[in-house]
Amino acid sequence: MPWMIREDQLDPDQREFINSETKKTGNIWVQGFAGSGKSVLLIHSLKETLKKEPNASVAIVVYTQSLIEMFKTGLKELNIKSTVPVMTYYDFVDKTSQKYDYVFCDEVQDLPAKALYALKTKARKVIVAGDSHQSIYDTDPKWFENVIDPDQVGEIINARPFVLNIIHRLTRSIISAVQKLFPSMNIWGAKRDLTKQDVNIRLCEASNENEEVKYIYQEAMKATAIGDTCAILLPTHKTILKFVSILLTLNNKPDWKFKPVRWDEDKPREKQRPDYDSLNNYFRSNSLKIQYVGNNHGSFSGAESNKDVIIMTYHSSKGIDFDNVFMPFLNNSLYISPRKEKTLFMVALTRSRKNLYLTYFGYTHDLVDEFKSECTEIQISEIIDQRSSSKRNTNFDF
Amino acid sequence: MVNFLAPILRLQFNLFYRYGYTYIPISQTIKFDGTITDDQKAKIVEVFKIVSPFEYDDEYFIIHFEKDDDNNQSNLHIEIQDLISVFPLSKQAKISIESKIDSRIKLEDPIFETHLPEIENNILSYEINRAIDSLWYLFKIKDEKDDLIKAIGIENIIKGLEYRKNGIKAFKIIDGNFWSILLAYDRYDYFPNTPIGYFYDAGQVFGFSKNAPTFEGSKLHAFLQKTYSEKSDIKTSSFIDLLESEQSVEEYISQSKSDKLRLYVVAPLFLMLKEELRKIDDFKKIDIEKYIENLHKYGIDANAALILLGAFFGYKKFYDLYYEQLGLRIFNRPVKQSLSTFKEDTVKIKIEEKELPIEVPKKIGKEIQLPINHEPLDTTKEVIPVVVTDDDEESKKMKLNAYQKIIFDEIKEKTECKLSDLSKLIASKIKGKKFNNENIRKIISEMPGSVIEIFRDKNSEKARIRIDKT
Repeated sequence: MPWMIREDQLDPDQREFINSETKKTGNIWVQGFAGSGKSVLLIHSLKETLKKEPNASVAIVVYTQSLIEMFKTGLKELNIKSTVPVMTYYDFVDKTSQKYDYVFCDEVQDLPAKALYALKTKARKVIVAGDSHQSIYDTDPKWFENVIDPDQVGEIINARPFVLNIIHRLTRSIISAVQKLFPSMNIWGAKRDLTKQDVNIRLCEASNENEEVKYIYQEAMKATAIGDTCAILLPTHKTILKFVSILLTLNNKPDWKFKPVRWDEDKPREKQRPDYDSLNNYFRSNSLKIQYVGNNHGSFSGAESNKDVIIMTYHSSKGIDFDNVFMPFLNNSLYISPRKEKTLFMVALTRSRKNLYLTYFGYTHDLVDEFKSECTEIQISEIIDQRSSSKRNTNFDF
Repeated sequence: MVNFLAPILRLQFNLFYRYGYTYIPISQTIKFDGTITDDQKAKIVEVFKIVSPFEYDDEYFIIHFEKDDDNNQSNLHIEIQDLISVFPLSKQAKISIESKIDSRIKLEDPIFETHLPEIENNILSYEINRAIDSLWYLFKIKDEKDDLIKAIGIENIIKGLEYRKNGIKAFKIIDGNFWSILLAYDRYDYFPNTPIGYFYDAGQVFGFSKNAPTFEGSKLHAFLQKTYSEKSDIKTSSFIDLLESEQSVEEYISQSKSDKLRLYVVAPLFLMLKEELRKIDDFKKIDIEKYIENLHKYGIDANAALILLGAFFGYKKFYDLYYEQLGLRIFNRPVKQSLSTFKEDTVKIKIEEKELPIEVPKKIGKEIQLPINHEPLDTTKEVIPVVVTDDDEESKKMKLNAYQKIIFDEIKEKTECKLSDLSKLIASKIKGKKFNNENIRKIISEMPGSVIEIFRDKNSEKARIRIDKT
């Protein structure tokens, strides 16, 4: 992530935030979709704060360890003193009694209310950043408390909202699809930046699920062969196992015998999660170029160097981009999640840089119907037929 | 009282609102009778030609105000009470601005929005021209560019960019012009990621220009497949020679030629340059001298590729380096020499065996090119990037090269490190660099002042700050 930005490189929202908004008194809630530059703005306003008040006590509070690393890199790149503490909200709530003049907090939509009250009590001024549309967790993973309802963030910390509408990360087609999924969300692409590769969204109809899986695996193999990264994203562990089972059958391999992770062994079968390390070993032993990544199983770098296709859940894909993304089984019987269905679906939808394949058999899922017009519709059977070369076009004059 | 319309920058509007008055040159206003008609809307397009350009449509408002008519004034003094209406330029701008300004201000419907594309296209024309001018300067091209632009067709360029703006993908364009399709084109197929892949792209664009959904099945495709299977990493220039001497693709060659240009050369060159530039966030990171050298052999076709490149990326991508090369008088220090003397006075990262390489040195703080002050290491047989941070006086004084600095910083932070970890660290920071322990030992031994020492701890070799120096 480029942290060093000059005023002439900012979009108008960002410019206004740095030049005007942060100079006003009161707490601020920076609202913006992923890729709108929230984190960069947080760190720049921290820098401005320290310029004005070099002795101010400041801290950065974030959700995960990886965000800590990301912010530390930013601080270093902007030559901000290394004594600025960057911590998780757990540490901020449980281990810090210190009061700060300024606290900057990212991914606020994933925090429980308790953390927000702590921000309010322990800081003179709070600038938080987040996006209600990205909240995919119901409870926090340590205290198991409900994650804050995003509508309450402003209220709890008494912050005025500042909205970033321009999205620099996503390309035109994906932004259009997201706009159709969330009509009330005002996001748009960087206006004149037509230079990014737009994602090609293919909506692929299959004659049956076997054909769907066969097509996905074939396309993914072509992509990994040229060094592209590829991910097959599914909403639940159950659908992952379904995909795997079909894939194994298609490749004339025996089905994987379910093995639960060690700590789920005593749970009832329906609550057991698969031991994906065992599954990954099974893939390897059967020479299948696929790897599950997530929840401490598998590895991105390993998959990339081995030219494996990655298979993972929508949840686990948050924050990660791939050249090509496949979302299988998108028909009307697909179960995504009782709550936050749209948000989770959008997380998966926004992961690709080049090609996004939405595949289905039967009738498309309601969520897909909302942005069908943005997709290139194709029949998988026709493509497979063409490849068998009997129908290949040879009517060329060059 | 006379009614006026005038564009005003939002920034100026905010100050106007804060102070209660502002000034607008009379030449940037339109007098009218109070009813906005198509005539005033058309005139607004003309006024926008003489005000500062803008990137986002929420950067301007159009204000309607009334004043006593005073023909002697060249600058109108406007009070906040003179304002009658505030028009955003588009619906999108209205939504965006509404959440950011005083909520009591009523923003009107964007009645000028229908003329916005015309206003934006005027800015786009300047953007394209300035981009091409800057590339001509940066690449030291002496040839005339106007004839080439004419050969490609400015209307084809604008059309291609319009396709992109409207999200129309190349494979969906029917009866399109080759150049427009080329500008709209992005690769969605799994073509090889070696230079020959760009010839597949060119073939695909050529197929699209003939309304074919793909060029798979053509003689060109068969020839590319055959060549790729035999020489997957064939260089661009060698492949062009091969292509031009291959009988089976004669029709492709003859059809993709114009009076001046070889389309089958321009297209891959443009696509190759485009991909390289997309990968970097800063045009200043490219080794332009190397580019000039490499592009030279493609003559006028390379110039045409640069025209397309300028049009594609716009002035935004190039102005930074262009200003540096021009040595703007408003700059703090003379910077013009930085590239002209680049070759002789500064060290460079080794250019890999790629035809059109771009240097992307890993950042370590702020990059500064420093004069060479030592011989390159024997172990690596290459020149080494000198990258130091502005603020890091310590390493600057020590005149460390990039590898030494990485090692020094790591050891400073961790007190001691395994040599094997240091080699991994260098590999992660400087792409393509793989060192063994012996290399690391040599790099450390050549560090000025012998500040770091190597010692043995259990079964591994480690490095630490030399104890007698600390």
